[in-house]
Amino acid sequence: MKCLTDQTLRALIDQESPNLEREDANRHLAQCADCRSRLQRMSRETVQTGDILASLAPRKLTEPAPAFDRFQARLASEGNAPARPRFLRGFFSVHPLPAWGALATTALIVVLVMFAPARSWTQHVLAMLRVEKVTVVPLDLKFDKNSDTQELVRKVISDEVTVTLSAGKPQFVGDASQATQMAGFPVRTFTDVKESPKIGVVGEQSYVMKLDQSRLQAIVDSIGKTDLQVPESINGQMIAVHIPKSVFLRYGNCPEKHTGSKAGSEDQKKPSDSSGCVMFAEVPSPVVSVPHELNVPQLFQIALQAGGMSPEEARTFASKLDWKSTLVVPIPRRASSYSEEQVDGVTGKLITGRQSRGQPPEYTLIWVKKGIIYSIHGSGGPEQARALAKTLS
Amino acid sequence: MDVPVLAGLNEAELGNINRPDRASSSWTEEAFRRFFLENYARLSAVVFRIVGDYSRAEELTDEAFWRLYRQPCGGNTFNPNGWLYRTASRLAIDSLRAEARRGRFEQEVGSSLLAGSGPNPLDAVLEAERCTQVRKALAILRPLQAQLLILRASGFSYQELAAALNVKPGSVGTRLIRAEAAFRKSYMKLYGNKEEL
Repeated sequence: MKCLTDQTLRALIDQESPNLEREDANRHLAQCADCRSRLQRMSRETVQTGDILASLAPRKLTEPAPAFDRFQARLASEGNAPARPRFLRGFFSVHPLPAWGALATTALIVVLVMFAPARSWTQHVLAMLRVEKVTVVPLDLKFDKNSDTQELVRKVISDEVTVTLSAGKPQFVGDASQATQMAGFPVRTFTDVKESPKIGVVGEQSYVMKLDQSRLQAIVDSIGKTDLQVPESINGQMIAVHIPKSVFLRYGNCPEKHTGSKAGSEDQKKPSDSSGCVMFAEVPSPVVSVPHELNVPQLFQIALQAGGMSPEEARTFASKLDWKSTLVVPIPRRASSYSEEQVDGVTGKLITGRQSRGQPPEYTLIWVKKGIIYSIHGSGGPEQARALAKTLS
Repeated sequence: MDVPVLAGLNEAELGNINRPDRASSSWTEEAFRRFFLENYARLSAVVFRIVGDYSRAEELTDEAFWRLYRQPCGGNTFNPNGWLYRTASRLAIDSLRAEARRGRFEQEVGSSLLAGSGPNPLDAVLEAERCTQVRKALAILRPLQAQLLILRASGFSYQELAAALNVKPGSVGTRLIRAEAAFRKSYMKLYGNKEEL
């Protein structure tokens, strides 16, 4: 018999082995000094760690009845209003202006989205931001490849962004009516496409981000824009984002981890045959809040300059922007182009990637209607996006 | 090691809980009340192990139940126990990590002392300091590893751990080995000169 695996030894220690496996293992242990030695070592380590962790146990148990009274009181006060994370309640009660959503969203773009690898920018935007209308800003994103910058951004996200409500894994449902029921808004599909889409409902999610001037300045410096000064007044300011449930529909041959994969992850680095894949996202507007004293337009101008705009260009762009309701989508200047499109009765934006290596260009058609951001993303040319948009239910 | 009965309810009763009374998205009042009362103390104990503060543990446990109540049941496959323990332990770990970043552990030592001082004040100080060290080490683990260690220390069986953390039952042993190794490493990194593990 071969020597026992660590897993088998561990199951023996934890008394979690099936009877038959335990008998076999004990017979082997009786003959194998190496495995006995490993078992003793593992057992010693397990007991030591267990003892240490056991010291964390509470000295008293909490009474459930008063807690249930609190629950009922909360139910009476909040009823069936749209769920909002408890941690953020104070925040929203102090700053109830939903119009600030776009501003805060913009600030989040600065740190969380703009520096992401170009390949994943649409996913990041769709995962984070929903407002009333969309505008596109082409930027020089060559610093994507700057690993120092990426590491600084990664650390900011890891240390300063607290997930107060995790979306968890998407729940896949059989049809649009189930998705509608789960998501709480009417889910639309392409009526002229015969195949059934794979429909995923992504749960609510909330984030709180604490701004740290020195870290943001370090990011700007790492890009080589040492002349840009991030104001110290942002220190300690909090931005809160609450994103309602959203729905993603996949048509055709789509990579499994099309949504939610991390920037720069292995999934994204691997080439995948996604020809024929069309992703249709339907995402309600988030509730975002920032402190009144935070000068988001100023921050955004800094970000635009960090992205390659001149101070004058950044100022002009910022002055024309309706900060209170516009989702600003940064795109790589050299790798994409965009145009306005009439879609679904409103004006949207069609973003087209450059064709490369004989592959058809990727496109994203994005628009906002009745508080929902819609996005069609695929490859094969923008005609496909236009045609699909006309067949929406 | 005592193994808890997670639900306090049998499968048939869980089936009733999972069968919502309207639009597949809510609990019956009585089913939720029973579920709440039967799980609250155990869940808040798990949360306390992570955050080390009774008030904070209550707050986070309340929040987890509130979210469960608002969570669509999602049909017969929805496991309210697993969801609840997964969510509550994750909330607690996020809170722990946030506290670690803010450097508030030292304040906790004081509050722990006030809440649970025993007959020997020196012992209480040492114990509180030790708990703070353990929580600091937990805070720098991957959240899933910290959840695994805390739930196992709370008496969860492999099967219960798998259900609570959405992992395969066959992988629990290996995950525990890795999580404990990571914990020992982070603990030694923090306190290697002072403590033997």
